[in-house]
Amino acid sequence: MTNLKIKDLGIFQEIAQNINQVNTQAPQLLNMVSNALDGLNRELFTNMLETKKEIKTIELEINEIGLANKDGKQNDNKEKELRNKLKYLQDRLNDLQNSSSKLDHILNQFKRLQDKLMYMLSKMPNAVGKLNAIQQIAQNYLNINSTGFDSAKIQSTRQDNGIAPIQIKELGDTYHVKLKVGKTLNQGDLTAIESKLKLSDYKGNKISIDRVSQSDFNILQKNGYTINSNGPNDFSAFKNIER
Amino acid sequence: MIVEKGSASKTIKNVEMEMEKLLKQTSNTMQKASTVWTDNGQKLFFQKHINEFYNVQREMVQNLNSIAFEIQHLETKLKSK
Repeated sequence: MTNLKIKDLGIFQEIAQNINQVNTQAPQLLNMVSNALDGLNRELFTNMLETKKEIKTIELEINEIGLANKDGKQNDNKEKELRNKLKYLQDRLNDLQNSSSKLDHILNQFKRLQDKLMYMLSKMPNAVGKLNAIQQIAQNYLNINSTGFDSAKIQSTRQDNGIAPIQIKELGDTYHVKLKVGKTLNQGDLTAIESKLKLSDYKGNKISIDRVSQSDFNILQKNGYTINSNGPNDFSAFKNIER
Repeated sequence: MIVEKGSASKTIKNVEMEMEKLLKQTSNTMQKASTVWTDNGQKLFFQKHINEFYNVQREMVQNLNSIAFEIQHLETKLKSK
């Protein structure tokens, strides 16, 4: 079983909300791109068909002039004008075809990525459900413990034995010992914590000391504590105690 | 969410900007998710999920940027005819 360490209980809900927002907006945005590209594709397609038709008409006209020339009715200027127009239209068709082919490639590339993103988005509601479930479990855990131990005592050992600054909180089956930042542990501290807990009426069986520093490792291990890494430069130590 | 209507390239450019905002939001979510630690150092399912999602989103934004550029080029070329 994996234990979680969180700084803020609301984190799961916050993450779920952010995911939901992306989940709502991203598909709409991607549809806009898809529509814009499809629209452009349609414009190119229509333009190509129209240009092809224009080319066919001009070719027919040029053929007619050719036939007329055979009959001795020369119309070189008209033929030249038509051939120039034909060249222009063929160039345009060529550009349109190249653009269409490029657009097809872009569309495929976009659709592939859109599918990938949509697939991820489709998994989001499930992730959000699980996040909400984790939030609920964490909330329940804290509620149970605060009800069961509303005497959850935050004690300063300074008052009793001069160990400072250390705080002890009973939560669940564990004594959570919190050290002030910069506090270095010594043998006297550890002995005092343990004897205080053994003499108390509470039935916990584990001591957890948070925010220990690397300089504490040696003394903690000598006293039977296990060091745990909770994040970069963030350590705690725990030990099970017999009652 | 405001996306102006106009040429395809303009629409895509505007969508790219909106997607960038969402990407930034996902990046913030990713950072927040990383404040949850496990005792065995393993990443949790939602942390993996958000990281993966961030990568796909980033790829999409980069892709939209190049698509907008190419479409604008294409539109300009066709307009000059």
